Amino acid sequence: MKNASKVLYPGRWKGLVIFIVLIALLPIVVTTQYVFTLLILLGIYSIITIGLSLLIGYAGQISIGHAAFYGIGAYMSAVLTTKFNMSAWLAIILGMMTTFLIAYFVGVRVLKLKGHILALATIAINIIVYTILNGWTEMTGGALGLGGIPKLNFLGIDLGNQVNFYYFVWIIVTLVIIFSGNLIRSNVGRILRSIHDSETGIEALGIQVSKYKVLIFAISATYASLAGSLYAHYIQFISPSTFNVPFSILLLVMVMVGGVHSIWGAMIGTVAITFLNEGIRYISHNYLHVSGEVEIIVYGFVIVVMMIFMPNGIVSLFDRFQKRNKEHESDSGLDLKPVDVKGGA
Amino acid sequence: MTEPILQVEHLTKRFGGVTAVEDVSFEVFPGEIVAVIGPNGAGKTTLFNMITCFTPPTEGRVKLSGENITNKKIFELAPLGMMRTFQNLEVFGSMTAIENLMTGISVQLKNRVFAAGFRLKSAREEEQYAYEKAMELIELTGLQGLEHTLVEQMSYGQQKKVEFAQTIISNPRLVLLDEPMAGLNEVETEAMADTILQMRDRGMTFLFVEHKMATIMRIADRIVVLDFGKKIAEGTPAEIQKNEDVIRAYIGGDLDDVKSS
Amino acid sequence: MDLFMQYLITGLTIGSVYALLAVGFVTIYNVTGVLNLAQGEFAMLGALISVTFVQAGLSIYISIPLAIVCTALIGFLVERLAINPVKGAKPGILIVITLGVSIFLKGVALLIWGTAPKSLPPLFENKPVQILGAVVNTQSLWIFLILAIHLVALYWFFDKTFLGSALRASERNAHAATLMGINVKNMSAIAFSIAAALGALAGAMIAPLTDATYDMGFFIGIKGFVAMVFGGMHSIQGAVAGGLLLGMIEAFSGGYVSTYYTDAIAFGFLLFVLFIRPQGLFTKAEGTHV
Repeated sequence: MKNASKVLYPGRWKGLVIFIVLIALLPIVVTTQYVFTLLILLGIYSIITIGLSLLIGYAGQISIGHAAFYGIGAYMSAVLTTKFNMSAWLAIILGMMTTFLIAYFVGVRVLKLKGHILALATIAINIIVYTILNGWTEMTGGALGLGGIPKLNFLGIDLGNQVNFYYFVWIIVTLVIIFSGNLIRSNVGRILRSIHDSETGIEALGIQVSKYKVLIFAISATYASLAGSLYAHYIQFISPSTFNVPFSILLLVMVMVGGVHSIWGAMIGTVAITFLNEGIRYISHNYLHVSGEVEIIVYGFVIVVMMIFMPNGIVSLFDRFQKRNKEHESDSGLDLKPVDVKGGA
Repeated sequence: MTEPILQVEHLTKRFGGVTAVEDVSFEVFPGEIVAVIGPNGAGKTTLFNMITCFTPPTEGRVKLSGENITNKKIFELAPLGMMRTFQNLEVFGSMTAIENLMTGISVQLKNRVFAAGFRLKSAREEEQYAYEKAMELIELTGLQGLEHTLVEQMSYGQQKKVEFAQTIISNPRLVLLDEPMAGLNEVETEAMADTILQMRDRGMTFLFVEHKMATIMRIADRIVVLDFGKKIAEGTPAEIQKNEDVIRAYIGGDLDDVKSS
Repeated sequence: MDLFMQYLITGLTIGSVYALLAVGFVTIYNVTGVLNLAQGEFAMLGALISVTFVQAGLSIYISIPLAIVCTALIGFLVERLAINPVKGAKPGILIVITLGVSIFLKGVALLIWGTAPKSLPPLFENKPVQILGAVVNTQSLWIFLILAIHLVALYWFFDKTFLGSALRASERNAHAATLMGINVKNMSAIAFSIAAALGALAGAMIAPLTDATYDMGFFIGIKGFVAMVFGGMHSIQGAVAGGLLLGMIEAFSGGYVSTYYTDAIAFGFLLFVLFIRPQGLFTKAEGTHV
């Protein structure tokens, strides 16, 4: 009998190879410090948005609260290394474990809610975590933030170096992509996708749907925690305002604009929104001489237009293109649910 | 005599003042094919939903191999070897036929998230097992050539086959089919009936609701007849055809009408 | 005791602001099925437009109604341009669209009014008065009174007028409403306009108490949403009660626990409610409409 995964999900590695080559070569082209910093942040954000695409695109559950888990990871790393002199690596892992447990236990309750109410509950989680980060001054330094977080060092390689850290972050992104891709291509992935089509159907097949929703929620939170730790060690200073609801909204927008049904969509969205925001900010500050976060006016506009005219995100353009190249595909072209597994990660 | 696999004891369902099912009892023995028939509104679907834990009964209970399953959750039944299909198809349209079937076997797999994410050996083996099982069922139900087609792009008859295959792939002991032939043409109906008989020979037990009398008479060992929520008759097809209560329930010649439909 | 009274009145004042926003939420949600996360921006617009009119030399008693009319118009446009084109989309898409609208309006406000906080002159002469031993600003009392009057008027509107019943009918059964000659499509735009007007009123009422800025909207909006959930999503009375309750929780936890943790307590209570009574605190258990 043929190998199951080769028959079911062929061509999986093509995208990944292109991606890896791109990541490896970018530092040759990019020399500006500013763009470099952006690329590192993109990697960090991608880790979270990939998790969100698992949660939103596959498990079908929304979250406007992942900045909270990002914050828990960042603060676990920061507090454990600066106040308890713990090894940075141990702190990262402890942070991920703590976040997993918190998200799991919160998730058991929260994921019983649906749609708008679930969205509100995740906002509530975010606000509560933010308030605690702000108010627990002895531990977190309150609104003033927490500095002096050490740079990372991996087996003698100084990750304080921009280029090293760039590769380090993107290697982790690659691992996250592979892990998530494996998950989607397993039976767990099929269970998650089946929830969209018929929750009744999958329950009748003997699967407790809520269990998988909660697990994916916890896993996506763990990704966010990992990203938070990386952020803390990169920037070396954190303050609560980074981890408030607006960042959760930004993450959600990235995933939705890129295309929620695919991991690549999440990454495309992350890149697109980040560069859009940075680009507008750059132009408005340097050429139009307006101050403040004016980029939000374009950003807000783009979100609305995208959701009206391209509800499946930028990645759906690629799907359409691919479809045109395949002869055996039906002529409808109106497939509104392109769960991208074959060509994806 | 062998132990019954399914015991339905005094099941009653009242919705407000209306009694949809009243004191219905019957048994199904291993290896049997039992049909539940009755005019529209006789309470067949409600009965089915109570047996499969979709609706809690007002009174009475359901036992599977002697174990009381009356208040179980829906997803707890499949692990006990009891599966069901739906009148209005609960397949996964955005997935291919083979993916649907592989999902059907979930109940036999461990589905560990971390094993899957790291693609540990256990996960790879599960995947291979599910795939081979699914290919077997594709062949058995005559879905060859369609394994990589999205289910939502299939015809109604093909989707019904997918649902049926997905339901029996995990080798359940007892399968409940809610109108398995509805919407199928003559050829498809016959094929479905044949598959049911074939699976019975492999040791499965079937309880099904259906309207197509000719097929029922052909494959059913016993028939339970409901009318206005009550059981009015039970017996072999031959007995049921002669039963006066049944003929009255279908208002005289109607039984023949249904027969020919 | 005097402190208690003070917290109570603060709670009622801020609570009635939330109540107004919550009524806006309920109106839109029940007529269109959309949860408008841009609702708070209407409050921001109401406050800032009022400020602009006052600065242009108009009396505050004219400025506020004018600002309300302007905001209602913006609400109408939002519905026509952003919500109407995606009728029937999934909640995820609708949530993101209203978030986009919220961000967009915030950006527009930033361009027009800048980042500096603006304040609205007091509506009435502001002098402290004693009520049952508590020292209370007349300003707060007036605001509470104005809001209370509006809430009663709203209740009357939804219960007694044709347009109000039409709005409720389109919620219950769009098809039947169409048969009765109600244009459900227009109802959606009307619902947005009404909600925007209510938001603007709420914003104009708090502007004299706290300064108005371009980014004040989102969190106020979320609080209106919370109030709506307390009230069970579907009822005007529930939304009002939920708003007042939320105001009280904030005032008392701020007074007796710590202002640091006000939000944590309020939202913790929200989660608690969602876990034990997701159908809301002020409703009888009934069939859900989601």
